[in-house]
Amino acid sequence: MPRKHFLFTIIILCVLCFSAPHLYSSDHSAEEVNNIITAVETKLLELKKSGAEDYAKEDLLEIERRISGSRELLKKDNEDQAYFEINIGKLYFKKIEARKQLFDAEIEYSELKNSLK
Amino acid sequence: MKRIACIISIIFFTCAQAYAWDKNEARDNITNAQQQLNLVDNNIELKNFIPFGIYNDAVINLLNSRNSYNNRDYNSSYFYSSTSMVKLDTALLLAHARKIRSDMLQYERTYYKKRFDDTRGDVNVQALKSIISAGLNMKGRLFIATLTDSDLFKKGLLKLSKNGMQRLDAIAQVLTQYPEATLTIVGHTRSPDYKNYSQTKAGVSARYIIQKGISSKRIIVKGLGNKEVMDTPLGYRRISRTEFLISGTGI
Repeated sequence: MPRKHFLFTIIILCVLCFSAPHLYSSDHSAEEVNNIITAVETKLLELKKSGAEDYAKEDLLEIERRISGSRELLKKDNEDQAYFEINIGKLYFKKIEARKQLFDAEIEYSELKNSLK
Repeated sequence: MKRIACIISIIFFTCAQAYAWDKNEARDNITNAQQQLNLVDNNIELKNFIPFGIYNDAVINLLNSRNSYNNRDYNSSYFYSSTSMVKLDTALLLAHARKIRSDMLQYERTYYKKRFDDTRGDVNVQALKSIISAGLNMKGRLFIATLTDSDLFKKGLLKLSKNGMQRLDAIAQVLTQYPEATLTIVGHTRSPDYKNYSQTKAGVSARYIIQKGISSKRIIVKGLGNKEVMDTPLGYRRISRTEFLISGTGI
């Protein structure tokens, strides 16, 4: 390859990199992501202890999957995606709360029906 | 030189592949989120019960996802569409819970109405009408009136409004009519009650009723803060209110 062409290739690659900085830059540090993972794990343990597995087993598994996914991404030095992954996992806590409300409402409704027979 | 060019080409090709994978993943996720949004929008049964805060968040996340996709930020796009999907799921679950609560209320109301209709032959209908016209609802052997702060007090003050006084006058009249009856006044707040505001509220109403000639021995005052929720057609809510419960009327 002539030297001219080689330099041209390098310049094109540099331009591509600068036009899409989100491909290589990282907005979140590994420490920040690790802190979130720890917080999510603690909350997950608390939920399991409180018996959330009775009504939200799938959601708890999904959070576990997100935690391990986030850890793997951290190992690959992909902090941003790890951050996204764990934040999606965090959202499942609200879903579990909603599931609990539904679970309670269903029980209360059946109890009410029995009591007002 | 050729080797270096070759290595750079391989790196570039690998990056392009990863980039393409991200793009497809993001696009599929947006499609899934959009489908889920359509499902929520077309669910006529639950439409009135969807919590708008979460629903709006989900829609905004989907829009952000599309914008990120158009700006070729596929990671963010994937994140926003996944977020949108979880939020839509949450909104649907909450809507289901609210619908069940609404059905419960309807069931309870129908039951007591039927019971009232069944037993109206045994009770003094005229007496019952006079109590109900005082703004009290019959629930079992209890008569209950729930007045919100805006019904009872002047705006932002702990002073009874004209409307509030009229409502309390009616309650006092029922107590005069039934000397055996006792009144329990329960104050509730919307947010945590650190200054015992709910008790104070109930106390203001109690003082007014005592002024109307009702013995203080017949009145119990309670403040429950925001511990108890209130049944509304849209589910249980923490509402700043005062409840008046009359028992022992003999009806």
